Amino acid sequence: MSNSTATQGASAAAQKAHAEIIEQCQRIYYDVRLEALAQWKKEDPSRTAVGFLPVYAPREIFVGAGVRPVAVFGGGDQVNVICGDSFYQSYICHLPRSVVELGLTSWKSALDGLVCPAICDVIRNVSGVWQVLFKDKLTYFLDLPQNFDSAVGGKFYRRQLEELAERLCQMSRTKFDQDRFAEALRSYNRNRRAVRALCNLRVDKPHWVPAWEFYLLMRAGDQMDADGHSEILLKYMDVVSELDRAEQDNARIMIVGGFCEQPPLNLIRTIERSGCYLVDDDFTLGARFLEADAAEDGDPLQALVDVYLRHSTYSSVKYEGDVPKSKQLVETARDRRADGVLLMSPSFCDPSLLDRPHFQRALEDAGIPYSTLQYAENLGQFGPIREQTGTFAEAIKLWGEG
Amino acid sequence: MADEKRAGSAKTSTTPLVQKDESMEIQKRMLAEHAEKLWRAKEEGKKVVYTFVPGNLTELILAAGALPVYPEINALQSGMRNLSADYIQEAERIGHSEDVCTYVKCDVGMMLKGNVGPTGVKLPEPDLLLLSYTGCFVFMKWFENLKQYYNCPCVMLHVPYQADGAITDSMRQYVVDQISEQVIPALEKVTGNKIDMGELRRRMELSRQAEDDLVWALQSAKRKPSPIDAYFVGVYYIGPMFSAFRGTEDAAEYYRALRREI
Ligand code: SF4
Repeated sequence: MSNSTATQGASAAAQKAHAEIIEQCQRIYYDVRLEALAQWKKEDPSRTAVGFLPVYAPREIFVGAGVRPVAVFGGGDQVNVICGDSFYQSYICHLPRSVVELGLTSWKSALDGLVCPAICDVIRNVSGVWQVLFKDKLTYFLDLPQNFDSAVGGKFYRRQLEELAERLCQMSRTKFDQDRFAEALRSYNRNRRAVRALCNLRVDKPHWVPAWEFYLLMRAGDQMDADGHSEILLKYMDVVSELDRAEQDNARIMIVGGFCEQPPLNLIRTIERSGCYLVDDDFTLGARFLEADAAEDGDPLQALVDVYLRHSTYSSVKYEGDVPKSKQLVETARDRRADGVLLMSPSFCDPSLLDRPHFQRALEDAGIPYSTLQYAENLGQFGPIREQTGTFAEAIKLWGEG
Repeated sequence: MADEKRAGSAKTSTTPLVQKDESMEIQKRMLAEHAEKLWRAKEEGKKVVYTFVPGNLTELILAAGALPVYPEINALQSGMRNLSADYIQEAERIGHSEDVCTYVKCDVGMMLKGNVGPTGVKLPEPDLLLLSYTGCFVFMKWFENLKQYYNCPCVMLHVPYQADGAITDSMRQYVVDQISEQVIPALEKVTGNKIDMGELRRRMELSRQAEDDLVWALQSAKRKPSPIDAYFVGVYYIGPMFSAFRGTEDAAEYYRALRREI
């Protein structure tokens, strides 16, 4: 009796802790207007915050320059785009529209600048639009190297990072703090380890880590410092082990292609509810872009360069070099024990859509079932997708090898 | 002078003849000769390099003794000859989205249907893909796609974006490093020829002459009335300079003739 009470007690405590974590993450996720950040800055006007667009930016540099890094993804399905549409043609994805819309409205008091990593023509154009619209703020185009030789691309990237540090320091009117930078490197290493642990947990026990919760947990890192975020992830992993979540007869699905413009949260829920466990995805890929720790015992700047060159993940926004991405996709799917792959791209997204044909071919050759779909961040109709992914999951279960 | 020729022919002939200027005839000959060289490339053991128009390194390709092919130009010409629709459909059949650039799809579709170029001649397969990534992100994806089909190496030249409208030392060095450490070795390996810097210099000098005359021609549009119009600039004048003829005597001759005519 006392044992059972104790178990029930632990479970109730776990449930409460779990609910609190998810609520905290939701608060951050829904704050696309960055109101909490604006409030944080208001409390001390010397504080500075700079946003960065998908996919990856070295946040350690921001911290070293005394700037709070903020991952921004546009407005999702929460923003009614009015001005943003007038900047882009109809055949351009949705993300830049809501980024411009929010820039012109809510982000003014929250962000002191925007870093635009070189991932596609659209983001490059956003950097130009930003430069023109916000002359009083920092705009930095981070030209990530497409050459991964340390004597060539590495040298260029190092200079890019030095320049980024200089520009951030000019804006924040501080000197670059090497100690703070080295500490940030360690914090983000810890954070990447926590993220990897969570990813592994969902591969092993996808019923413990529903996809929408995983997504919210990752998005919570957008605005938080690395250690705060790691703490949440570690706590979540502790808590879910006590929740006693039952395993269902779902298909194990890996999603690829949504690394930039994000799907609405309800789309992720829809896919999951249609009978899929998501064992991997590339939403919020930035937090997982580096697949190993940056070396902590040497020059931290060089460590960031080296880890990017040698251990950044394969992605549609990176040149594949000698190892075809399609091969890496198949290896990842096998490693995650995925029953099928959903190639899921934002409409009009060149990097994602142009990888689709060779991804499809590689999956066919490997005998891995796949399905394709397109979405926009403000998608509102989920019925057809539910049918499609539900049928996909059913087909896998009926005719799959398992 | 050209106008007098046209007027004269209109008076003396019942069926109006199209009178071509000397520069047009030169360009026509250049294109025909290049097509012929490509057609015979494999037979003659010439290596073929596929590359892009913006920021192309034609002088270097020619100095290595290889022949350039420009998939963008094939796509453009297929469009002009009404051949694109079938090619695009073919590419969409293997998974290319309706949402993406039709140049890529036209080229991929053409390849899937046997790689017969817009002039009806089968194009030689590439021995090297020289990915001059000069701003259009799609270029990178385009050659990543071609890499899956052609069993040949691919070398990239990433040209940084001038976000502040200026070229920095670091950008320049990055380009120099890529050309000297990767592009030149790749060309030399594929062709088996050591690039002769004297020959490269000579070709770059020819490009300079051609470019000076082209710029002169474009600047002539400032006159009122302008002796040139956008149609001829777009269809004829820019052709040799932005394609297979940079660094050739033919291109220098073409632009000299154009300048005389204007
Ligand atoms: S969704 Fe795709 S095309 Fe649009 S900004 Fe992102 S990477 Fe570029």
